[in-house]
Amino acid sequence: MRLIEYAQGIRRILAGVGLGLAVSAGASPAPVVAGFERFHRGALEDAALAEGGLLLLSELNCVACHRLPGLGSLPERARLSLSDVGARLSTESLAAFLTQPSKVKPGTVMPDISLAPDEVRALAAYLGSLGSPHEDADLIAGGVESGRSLYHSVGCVACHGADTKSVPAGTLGESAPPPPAAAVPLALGEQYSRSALVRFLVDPLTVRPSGRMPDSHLTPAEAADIAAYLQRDREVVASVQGPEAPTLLLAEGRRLFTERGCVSCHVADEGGETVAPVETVRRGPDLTGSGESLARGCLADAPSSAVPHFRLDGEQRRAVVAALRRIGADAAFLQAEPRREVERFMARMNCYACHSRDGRGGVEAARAGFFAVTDTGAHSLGEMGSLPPALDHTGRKLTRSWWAKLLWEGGGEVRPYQVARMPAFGRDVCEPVLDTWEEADRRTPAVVIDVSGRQLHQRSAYGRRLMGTQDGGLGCITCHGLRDRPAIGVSAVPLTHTVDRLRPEYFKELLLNPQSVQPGTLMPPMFMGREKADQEIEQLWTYLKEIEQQLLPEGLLRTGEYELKPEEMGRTVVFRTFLEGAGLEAVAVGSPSGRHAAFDAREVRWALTWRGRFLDALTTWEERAMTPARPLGEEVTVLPPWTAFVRVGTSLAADAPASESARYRGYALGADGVPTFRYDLGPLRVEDTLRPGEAGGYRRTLVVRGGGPGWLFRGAAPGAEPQPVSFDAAGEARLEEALP
Amino acid sequence: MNQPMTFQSVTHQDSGHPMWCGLRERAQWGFRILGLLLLAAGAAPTRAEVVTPSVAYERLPYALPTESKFEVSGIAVLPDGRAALALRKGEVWILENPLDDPAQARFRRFAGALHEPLGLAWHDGALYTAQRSEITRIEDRDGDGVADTYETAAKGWGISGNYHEYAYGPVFDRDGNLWVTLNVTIGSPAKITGHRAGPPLWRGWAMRQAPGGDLQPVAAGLRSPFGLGVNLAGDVFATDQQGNWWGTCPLIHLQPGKFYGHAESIPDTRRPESPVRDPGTLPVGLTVVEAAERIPGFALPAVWFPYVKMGQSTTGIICDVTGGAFGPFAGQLFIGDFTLAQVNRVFLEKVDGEYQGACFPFMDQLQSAVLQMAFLPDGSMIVGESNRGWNSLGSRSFGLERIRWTGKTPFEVQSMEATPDGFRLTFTEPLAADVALEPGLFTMTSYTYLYRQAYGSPETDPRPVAVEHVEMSADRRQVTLRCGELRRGYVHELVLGALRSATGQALRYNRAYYTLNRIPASVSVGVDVARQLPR
Repeated sequence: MRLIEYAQGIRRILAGVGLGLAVSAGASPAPVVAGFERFHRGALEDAALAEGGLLLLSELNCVACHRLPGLGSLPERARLSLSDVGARLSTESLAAFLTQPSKVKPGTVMPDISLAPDEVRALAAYLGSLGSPHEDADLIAGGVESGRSLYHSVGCVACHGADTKSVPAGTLGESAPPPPAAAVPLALGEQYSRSALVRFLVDPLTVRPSGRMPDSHLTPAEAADIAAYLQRDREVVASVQGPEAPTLLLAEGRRLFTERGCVSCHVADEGGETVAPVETVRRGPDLTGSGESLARGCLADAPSSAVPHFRLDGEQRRAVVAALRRIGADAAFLQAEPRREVERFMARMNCYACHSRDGRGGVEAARAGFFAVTDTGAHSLGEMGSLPPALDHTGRKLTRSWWAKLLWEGGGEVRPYQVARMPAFGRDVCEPVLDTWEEADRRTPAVVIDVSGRQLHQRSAYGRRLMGTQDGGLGCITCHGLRDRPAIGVSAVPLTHTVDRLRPEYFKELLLNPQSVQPGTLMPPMFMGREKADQEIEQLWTYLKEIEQQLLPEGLLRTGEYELKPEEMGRTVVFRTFLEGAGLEAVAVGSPSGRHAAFDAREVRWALTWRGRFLDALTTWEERAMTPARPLGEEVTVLPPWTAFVRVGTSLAADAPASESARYRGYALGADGVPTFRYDLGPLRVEDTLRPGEAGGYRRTLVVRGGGPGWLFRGAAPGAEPQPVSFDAAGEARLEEALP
Repeated sequence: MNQPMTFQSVTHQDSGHPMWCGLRERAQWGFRILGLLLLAAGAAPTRAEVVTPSVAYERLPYALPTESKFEVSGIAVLPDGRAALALRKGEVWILENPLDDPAQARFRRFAGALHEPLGLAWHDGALYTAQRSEITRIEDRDGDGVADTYETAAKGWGISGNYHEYAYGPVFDRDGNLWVTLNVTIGSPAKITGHRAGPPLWRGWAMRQAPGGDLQPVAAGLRSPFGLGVNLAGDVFATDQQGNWWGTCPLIHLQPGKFYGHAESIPDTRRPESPVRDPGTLPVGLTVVEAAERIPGFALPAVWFPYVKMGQSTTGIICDVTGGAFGPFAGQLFIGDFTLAQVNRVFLEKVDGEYQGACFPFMDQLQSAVLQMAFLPDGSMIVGESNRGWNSLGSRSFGLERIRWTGKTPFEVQSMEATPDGFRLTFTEPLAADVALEPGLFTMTSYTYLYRQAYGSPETDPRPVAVEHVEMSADRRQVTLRCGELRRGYVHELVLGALRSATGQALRYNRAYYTLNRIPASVSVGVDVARQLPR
């Protein structure tokens, strides 16, 4: 029942915000700035309205044409690159767009520019000439349905509209959630050549370095699927480039591009050289924040054809005016305190589409159903598991290197169970705000934690015990995985990268009182009232610092953790240890063929063969007591106790003492990694090799030197009879036997 | 720093030493001995602490690969300057660029399939390491950069599968003899099939093999002789661990036919090949000095490391062969400590033909239990660490780091020599001109240890040593102490008061511990050891 209601709710909403943004209004629709639509539309208070106006000033890139002399500065959006636009859009598409951007892409923040048809033709021809055609070989055939699925799951719909067919399966509320704010339009992509769209989706930041369309770390194949989905109603356009335009037309287009203000918001390369603004760039008047100017130019009710037409609606205009007034009246408005600056940054970048902070933003209820988890263990985390995390306290939570991973380098995601991805927004855009962010979240008094590891109590072994489920452990691994190992129970954030990712002070703050730091967290307050909490938290830190090299905690450690797997390693593995059946000087030889053996270096003889799994190195590598290892596989064969050669006349009883003094001399590895063991038996110098045989068993090869008459070879094969050895003139003999 | 260590490190950790003692016996010992110490000395011993932080030496921890646990148990610097590193799990890696930025260290796996190698040496064109049951010569004969030949270079001692049966080394002395030391068996043998049990021969012995010869027993009475090293003269030394029969950790000059005190090696002295005379029934209730007089063949260690004050678990030994590139200690020995994760320093001199000398703290607060050290071509020291199985101070469970002399001379007691009526101290720098030398600046105590089967020993029979007269050399670098009662065989602990050098530095460490086995009949000629060294 709830599901149905929910689905109906979603459908109702999606009808209004669907992909094509089928806005009914005949008039050119106002530009869509997500943060404004969500937080400022309908604002009654001046302060909220002014904040909304400030957001519009930045997102409409007003400072590209206007200055604020003596009033401070507004963030400027990085210019959109048109260097390759000719490979993306046909001259016809460009011309249609230039004629009236808002008609082709309703809601676009690009203003309508008054251009004569000839000017449109020249500009379109010029832009169409930028960039080079891409080989069809670039084109990856995508699948519409997989693209649909990706589009609705990896995070696109956090900002963009959803398809009415793609109602999420989850249910989050008792009844239909309120409709979401307007979706960010993406219309123009439908007209891209297919390969250009794929490239754009793989790397949007090259074209749009402002980061407003972030990089979702799509693979080319994923991007091709999404491209196929976005262009599902169109023929695939392999290439958009037409015949070369006349030189004079291109020159005219280039002149218009530089002189009509395009370069204020766009940048183009010609053969690697940037087309820079020339002196004649159209600049708007300085903004003074007062006077009649607030109702003129772009802000006029009906702007003249001489200025860009942003199609601001009444509320947007009022907001911009309110912002300009505040800028003029209050110098502190543009230099706000750190918390406010972070809020503004998040609004500009639309972080709020996914993340909340200080109770603001977060995934809108109507979109929440698109955020899914991959494993059932995470279902029990509820929204904590499926939705991107709140960003409260993150300025003191994350290390700088982790911010870098999250915001521009990639590889910073730590919630493998979440389907949606944390996209990259670009270093140039994000790095400057990090100092402010840190300042905004500074805690006084600071939490104090000693992570020197110098104290006796800080040993990682203690931390390991605490992580585990036995021996007084806190059982952290119940919810947190480590390394490649998932948690035993609920899957929360794996802790493998904790020390790279978290600042130790935050780690301690969180552990001491999870609810106060992350309200709603399912993490139990393990350390409340624990007498040695300070020390124990330091122990955990030390252990996590060494996690790559440390034994996993009890409970997470599986039998076979240290199992040596020659098959997987694809090579012969020699391993020396105490081995059941082969004694204290065993040299085990594991083969990728799955046929293994052990040589007893004390008794100089082959002691065991077995098949299947080889050995577990745990006790040899980690245990103080060094418990003997044992063959893990099947068909363990104990070979006879005698050495290979005896003198004629010696007792052949199995338990007879060896007739010759044995001396082990070591081994040499062959080119295939198989060891040839060397030992002396009295005067004989023996080389003894056991390899998997072609027929499935083993083939043993012996080369003996220093012999003469009167020697018997005693094979290890079942039922093998002692045979006389015939040495050649040089006293050398070569023998072979097959073992099953 | 008068308290907390002692109690914690003796009783709280799961045990004190690498490679030998059982947890329970250790803990029991801890409580018992602590009580004794408190009764005997009125206060527990404390670690020798840094008086001034070092500007003379810097620590450079290497960034380690994650493929293997870098529990570095052996280091051999190759002729081309690379460092070969044995890991306890049974591998040998090559550190290609030990002198470069430690964050950019490049490591390469060279050999594997070794059974807990505890030592590594480069000799005669190959690497040698001690495995549980043999010394193995490791070579890359086909030149592909990976070892392909594991040749048994020495063998012949017994193992029962008890985990304490470590083999340490090898080192090579001036004649090219190979030396290995063998831990005693502590506890029961392993229960394992496919093994014909025999007596675990030569446990607690030092063994030697001449070039082309067989492995021979040399000296007995060792317990857990982790460290093996050779001084400039080519003589071989070993360290051992406080425990039963060892009152505290010693530095031993290994000499043929000697018995060093641990009883478990005695049955093998009755074997025909034993060069050590059967010491017979061991006396009880004696100090180790008295025991040395009573037991035939018994040899005292060259230096005692007073427990806790100078570490709790001595490990690797290296001689400063850098000719001054590592600072003002050329020719001296450096000794690792497991539990306290530090490196100590030893000055040795010969009195009546036998080594004895003093130990000093050198550097503490390393990353983890120090196992082995070696000198790199530039004269810096590389230190391998692992505390698995026991425990140590430090920030990590294992590691590899480098200690580099910055070129600034630390102000320390460079050497402490015995004289017929006291000691002569040589400082690394002249004392400040305004230092008013007076006996009160030097506080001395002497004590020894009990020789007994029980674990460890308190400092026994302690007495203050009166410093009656002090005299400074003209160059202000040497101070001669005339003392009251000097006791043969006793540790003479010296605590120095506030001294400053001519350059204005305070002493880096203010303690020295001289083991006075013999009192010289005459004053030795002052020798600047560093000047004798090849550069």
